[in-house]
Amino acid sequence: MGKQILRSAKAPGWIGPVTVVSLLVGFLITSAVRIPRPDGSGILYGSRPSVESPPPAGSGIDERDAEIKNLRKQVTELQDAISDRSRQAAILNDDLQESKRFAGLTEVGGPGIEIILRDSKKRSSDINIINEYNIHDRDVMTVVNDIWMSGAEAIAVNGQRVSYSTSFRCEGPVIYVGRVPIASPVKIQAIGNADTLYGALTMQGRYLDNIKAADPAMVEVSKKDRLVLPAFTGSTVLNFAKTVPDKGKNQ
Amino acid sequence: MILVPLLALAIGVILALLAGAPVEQLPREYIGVAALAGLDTLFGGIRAALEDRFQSDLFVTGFVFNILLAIGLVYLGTKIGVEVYLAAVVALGGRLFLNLSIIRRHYLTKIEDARGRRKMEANQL
Repeated sequence: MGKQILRSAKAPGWIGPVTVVSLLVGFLITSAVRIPRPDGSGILYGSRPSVESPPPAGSGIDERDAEIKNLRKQVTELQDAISDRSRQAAILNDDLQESKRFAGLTEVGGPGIEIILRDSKKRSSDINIINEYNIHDRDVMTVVNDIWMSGAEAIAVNGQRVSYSTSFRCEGPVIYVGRVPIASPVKIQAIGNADTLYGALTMQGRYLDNIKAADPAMVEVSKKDRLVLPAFTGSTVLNFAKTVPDKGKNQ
Repeated sequence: MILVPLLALAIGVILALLAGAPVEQLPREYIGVAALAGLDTLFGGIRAALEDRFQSDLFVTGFVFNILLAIGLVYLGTKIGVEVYLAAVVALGGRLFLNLSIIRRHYLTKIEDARGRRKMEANQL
């Protein structure tokens, strides 16, 4: 029996087809290994739904931002000029500037804190651990939320003022702050009571602790005596939200 | 003789590595199950050869149909939202283990036989 099997194994009949199939299988397996897996998610159905991408980085955003900044500065100067004419106009202008400051449309300065979030230098082959080692949109979002909760009056992320319509979103290797792409390190600056902000953010059990758990070097918090945050440069056009007329006035 | 298919397998790996970017554009899920189906057929063929019942036509058609069936299941799964391809993975995976264990047993028996023969020859001397 043993001899028979030995003889059959040496029979040349099967060598040709098996060799060809081996070649194809080798090719298929290697191809399957080489094809990148999206976001480390499930093979078939786990991937996140795709959303329309914002315009690619550097597609004239900086130039437009600079233009908007200049135009807003001009508007402020004009409003100031008008207010010089009368006391009534001056009061109105003060009110206007107050509203603009509140909406983040003017450059502001004051004491506060600076938080730097950076990707870890640690390396891993496990996709889940790699995710923990990188700064994501949810990290920036949650930290900004924590800062607002702690009493901040103005926040900027990598020089982009956070205003009412600012959104944070991961898109490949960058995080979009509104429509501006940024990457690690993410510098979050906030104006407010520096001691309160610092104490609240570094308190045990806060969100920054979660990031530090992966690698303490990923988070850096410091108090600043003076910070200057730029004005919001995104769109302020409201197409649907209209001011409701004061009913008391009409009666 | 078994070295020839192994060599071909290595050539296949090298070809895929040399193919560069076009390979990375292929749909991973389809290629994955196709590779598994091919591997199953390959070990099935080796087993049949060792058992002296290898048939080229069966082997080639088995290779093509197994791959087509596995790809079809993945496609069906994406359409109806059920991971039907798992059926192919389980069935092919089970057969892979079975075929590999039979191949292993075959070679172990051969080694045992060779040892027994050597012992008998030594005793005769």
